Formats: sequence, C-alpha cells, structure tokens
Amino acid sequence: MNAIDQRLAEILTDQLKVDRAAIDTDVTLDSLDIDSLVVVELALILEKEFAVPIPDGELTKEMTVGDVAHLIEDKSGGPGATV
Amino acid sequence: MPPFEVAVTGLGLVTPAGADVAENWDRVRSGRSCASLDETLPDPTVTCRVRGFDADAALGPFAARQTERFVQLAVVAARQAVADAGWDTGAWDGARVGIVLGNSLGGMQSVERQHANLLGGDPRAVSPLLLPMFMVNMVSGYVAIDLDARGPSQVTATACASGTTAVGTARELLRSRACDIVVAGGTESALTPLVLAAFRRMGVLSRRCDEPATACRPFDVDRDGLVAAEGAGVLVLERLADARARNAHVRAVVRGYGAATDAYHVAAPEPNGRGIELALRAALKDAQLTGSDVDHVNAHGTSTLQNDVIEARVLRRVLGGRSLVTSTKGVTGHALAAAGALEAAYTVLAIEHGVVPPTANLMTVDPAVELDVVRAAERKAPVEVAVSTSLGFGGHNAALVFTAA
Repeated sequence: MNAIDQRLAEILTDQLKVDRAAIDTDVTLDSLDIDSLVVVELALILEKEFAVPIPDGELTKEMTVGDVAHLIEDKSGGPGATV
Repeated sequence: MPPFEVAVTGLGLVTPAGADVAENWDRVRSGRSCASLDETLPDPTVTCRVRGFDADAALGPFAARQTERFVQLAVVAARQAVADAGWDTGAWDGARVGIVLGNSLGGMQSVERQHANLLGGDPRAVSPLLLPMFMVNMVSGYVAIDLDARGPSQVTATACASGTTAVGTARELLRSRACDIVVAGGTESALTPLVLAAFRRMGVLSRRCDEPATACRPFDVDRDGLVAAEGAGVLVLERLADARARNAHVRAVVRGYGAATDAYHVAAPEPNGRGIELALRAALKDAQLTGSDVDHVNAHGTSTLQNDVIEARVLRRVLGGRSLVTSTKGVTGHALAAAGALEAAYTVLAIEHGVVPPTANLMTVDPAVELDVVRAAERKAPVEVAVSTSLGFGGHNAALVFTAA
C-alpha cells in the first residue's frame, strides 16, 4: 500500500466514517454505501488533500477504491508524489 | 356513531429528562428542571439539552455523520416506541405502516455550517448533503428507512403544535384505513446560535440566566419567558380493535382531536384564545365528552407571559375548575415541534399511573390562572380522561383527548 492508498483509506475512515475493515482496493465506493452525494463530498476532500483538480462527475460511485487511488496518482504525477 | 378510538401501544422518549420512557417519567414526576446555562451559545442563554446521546452508537458512525440531531433523536425514540409496542419491524407488513412526525426547524446546524462555507467564497464547499440533512421532511424519510415503514409518511409543521398535529393526523390515517399502524410524534433539535438569537430578539426567552434551574416556571406570577429545549417523542398508534385483537398492551386511547387557527397574528396568540378554545372544543366533541369529564390537562404552559394566561382562561372556560392541570415544560423546557409529542407521552403515563406530575418552579400561581395547577409535588388521582393542548407560532392550535385503556 503506497502513501496515496494509505491516505485515501484514512480519509474514508476518518472523514466519511466508513468501516475500515470493509475498505479494500477491489471494493467499489457504492458497496461501501458511498452514494452519489457522498461521492461529491469525497471529490472535494481529495482535491484539497492531494492538491489535484477533480471536476464534478469525474469520481463515480462505481469506481473501486483502487480506481480512485489511481486517478489521484495520475493527476499528481505518481504514487505518493504529493504526500 | 361511537367515537373513533386509537390505541397507544408504544412510547419512546429521548429528551432532556432522560434517554428512555422510564427515565423521563421519573424526572417529570420529580419536578426537577433540566435547564442549565448553555455553554455552547455566544450569549447567556438557558436551554434544556439531551445529555449523553451517542449518535455513533445508535446509528453507526457512517449514518450518524450524514444525519442531523433532530433525525437521530427521532430514530432512537421511534425504535423505542416500536419495541415497546411489541412489533418486530422485520416481520410487520411495512406497506401498512405510516410515519407522521412533527418538526419545525429541521437541521439548522447544517444550514449554519454550510452557509459559513458559502461565505468562505467557494460555492463548491457547500456540502451536497445539506438538503437531506436540513429539510424537515427528512426525518420521516429516515425513520421510514430505519423501520421499513412503506405506507404514507409526512412531517407536520405547525410550529410548537407540530407533535400534537402529528398524533391527530396519524389518527386520521388509521380512521381512513390508509394504515394499520402509525408511528407518530415529534422531534426538534435546533439550539443553534442563530435560532436562539432569533428567539431572544422576539423577546420570548427567559432572561433568568443567574438561576437557570428556575428559569422555566409555567403559570407562575414571576415567569418571564420560555426555555428552549430539544428532544423527540414517539407513539405507536393502532386502531383499538386491532390492538386488542393482537393482545397488545394498550397504554391509553386517543379518543379525540381538534385543530384550529387563530387567524390573528403570526407570533402572538389571539388575546381571547379563540383558536385554542375552538381546537379544545372540537377535540372534546370528537371524543363525545364534555369539559367536566376531563380529569387532567397537560397544558402547553410555556412560561411566557402571554401564553399561560390566555391558555388558562380557555381551560377554565371550557373545562371548569376541576381538572388537575400541569405543564411538564417546567421540567423539560420547550421542545418546540417535539413538545406536543413529549406531552402526549406524559399524558399517557399520567393515565397509566394515576399520577399528575407537578409543574416545576411554580411558586406562586398567577392570580389570572384560575385552575387547579399541580405544584410542589405530584398528585395521585385516577385519570380516566386527559387532554393535551398545544399552541404554535402561526396561530396553530391543537388538542388531543386521551382516555384510559
């Protein structure tokens, strides 16, 4: 687990209060009960945390936790580059 | 046609007076006020808050983060009431279960927080959860999800009469057979800086901040205003015949309901109490009873200068002087839209126990109040017929008539 994965898991548990035990790279946001509204919240949190732009609609609840981590990696220039 | 009778088969209470029905009843009977100086507000203000409520434990942290306290309190009170009624929500026919809850101010905490975010300059900082967290109707939506109640659901918003309106509305859903069970009551949690500042500017709050425990003193000659509170009260209602058929424990019967409007002023009560008189007379007529039948009144009794005298005159005029009158707001404070629901529950308990709780802090009864107001200590007396009255900003008035099972 790289620094982005680690930080993403912390955000999901600490800020969105997702059950830590349920978080895995393969699980979708939807299966963590993160609905379309909470996805909008999450996008804003990630923008601020990782200093990357995430336009509305880019993050979806069908994405897995791993997909989200990859998105941030791509935008920030590599795993853990900005953390 | 005989009066339409609805059984109260379950009660749930989460209020400043306690985390469940038993704690509430003990505290209300004791006549000890729950009021204290509120450390969370910028200006000295006396309030009654629910102590020790753990939303994370009750709803789970994930759901608790996405709900405001008025919803959280209601969910827990509703669960209590349903359990008390002996219903298993996994086994009932949810399509026949309705929800009617009173609320006025919704999730004001979210409004104030998100407005601050907006003023910070970035509209995107406004949470997408703002609307589902603050809208008043969301409480019936959340409780419906929690209980798998798929019949009609709604929130009644008649200000401080909302809880009473909810019980009356629920009774109509049972009468029309739209539902077989209705989870009814009220909730309020809006003790925010903005709301309290607004109440203060209206001049309705007690200014007795140096002695908060005696700030709310309904019907007392020295009363100087209300003490705002939070809380939730829920009743499970079923047609009496249905409740008897399933051998449910019937705690009391809702036998009459009346509602009326002052059509006078948005905040001040009509000086002759014509709205509350109309509502009370309608409730008695609905119950096919007369004023002299009423053993006990749980009055609205807010501790404001105007309400208590106007209400007392109407009670005297309609009921005569025999009824034992109390205002449990002396203990709980004024839980606004939840007040009528809390007081409906306390009225049921008074009937069940044959006990009329005292009006806390009532030292000297206002001479204009020509009623037998119970003070100092509870009064033991058979209560066969009881009334609960509510008045709200907007000129809303509502009254319920309860009878012993």
